[in-house]
Amino acid sequence: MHLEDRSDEALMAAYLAGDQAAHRALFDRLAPVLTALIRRQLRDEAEAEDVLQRTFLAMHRARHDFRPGARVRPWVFTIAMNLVRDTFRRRKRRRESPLELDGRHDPVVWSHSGLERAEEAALVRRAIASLPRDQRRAVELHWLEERPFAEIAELVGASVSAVKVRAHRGYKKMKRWLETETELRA
Amino acid sequence: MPDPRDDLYERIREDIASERGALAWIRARPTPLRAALLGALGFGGAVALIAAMRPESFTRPRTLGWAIGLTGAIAMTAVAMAALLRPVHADGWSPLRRRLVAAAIALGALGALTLAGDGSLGALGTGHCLMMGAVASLPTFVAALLLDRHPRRGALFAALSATLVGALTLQVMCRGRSLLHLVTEHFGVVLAGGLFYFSVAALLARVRR
Repeated sequence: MHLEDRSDEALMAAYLAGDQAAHRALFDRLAPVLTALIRRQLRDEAEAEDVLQRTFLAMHRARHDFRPGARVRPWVFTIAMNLVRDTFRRRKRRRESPLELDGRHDPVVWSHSGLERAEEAALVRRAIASLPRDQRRAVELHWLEERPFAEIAELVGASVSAVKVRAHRGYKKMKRWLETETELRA
Repeated sequence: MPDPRDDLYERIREDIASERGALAWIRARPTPLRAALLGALGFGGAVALIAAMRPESFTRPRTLGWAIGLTGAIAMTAVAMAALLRPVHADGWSPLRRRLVAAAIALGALGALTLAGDGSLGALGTGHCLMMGAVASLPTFVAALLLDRHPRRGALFAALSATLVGALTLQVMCRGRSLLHLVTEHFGVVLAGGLFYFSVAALLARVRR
């Protein structure tokens, strides 16, 4: 069977067995998806390339942690997202965080200026952080990444309806959390 | 026209090619195995070294407070070690994990309070517990450096794991009960040891990069 016809999981298994061609095929298949994901988050070409490189190195270092039978994309995706978060921590520039607010998608109505905007972004970050893992991931990908549910389903290794439910529940929880927080502040 | 991805892939291959030798091999082991190794080397090393040195002042009576202190010490150190070894593909800290960390810290604090000084001035030699703390923490620090895959964040957790093992071993084992002794020597292990270990780990991380 040609490398192109093999599944990600089959390529990963071959790579773990020492097949370098399988590693290259995996890179060719995942790099475009990861590049788009990382670039959209960081909005910096050079940093995005650095994170992509580090993602594949981290993947190599953690290769024996990969469970046989697990899906490759959610695993690699989580590595990339964690490295993106590390990059943000290093930057220490909150205004350039991936969680910048965009009025089109805000679950609540926000004002959009200066310090208030930064505070609101921080508040939303906390709201997202308060969600259970699956819901958080669905919200991050749908709201912040603007990805369609079909793509999210593939990335997290779940069905389309499951990720829709997760995102919906996540938004509801975030809304409640933000309303409570806003009331407390008022 | 050359594909820019070829250059990137070449750099990745170079990165991967540099991951060789015994250290790279041990760091690539599955995380549960690395955790078992760190625990065994850290705790085992501390116990073995202290047993070999047989310090006379390390004979705290086995009371309920001692048991709480020991449990808290192990829980806190396990949390620091888990943070050190946390795989890069792990998801963020869930609310349950946060509660576990809070519980470990609370138990550790309770243990420390239970075993804290009663105001009497002990007559232990100056620097005794500083030395014992260093001895107890060293195996953990070395093991953490060997097993950590992420030098950037590893320095902090390697220092934290090591000083926790050192300071909490003292807290559980040392029979010195004077506040002065606890502050200058036990806390000294945390402060001086932590700073020293962090500096060394950060330096090594820079070299590794």
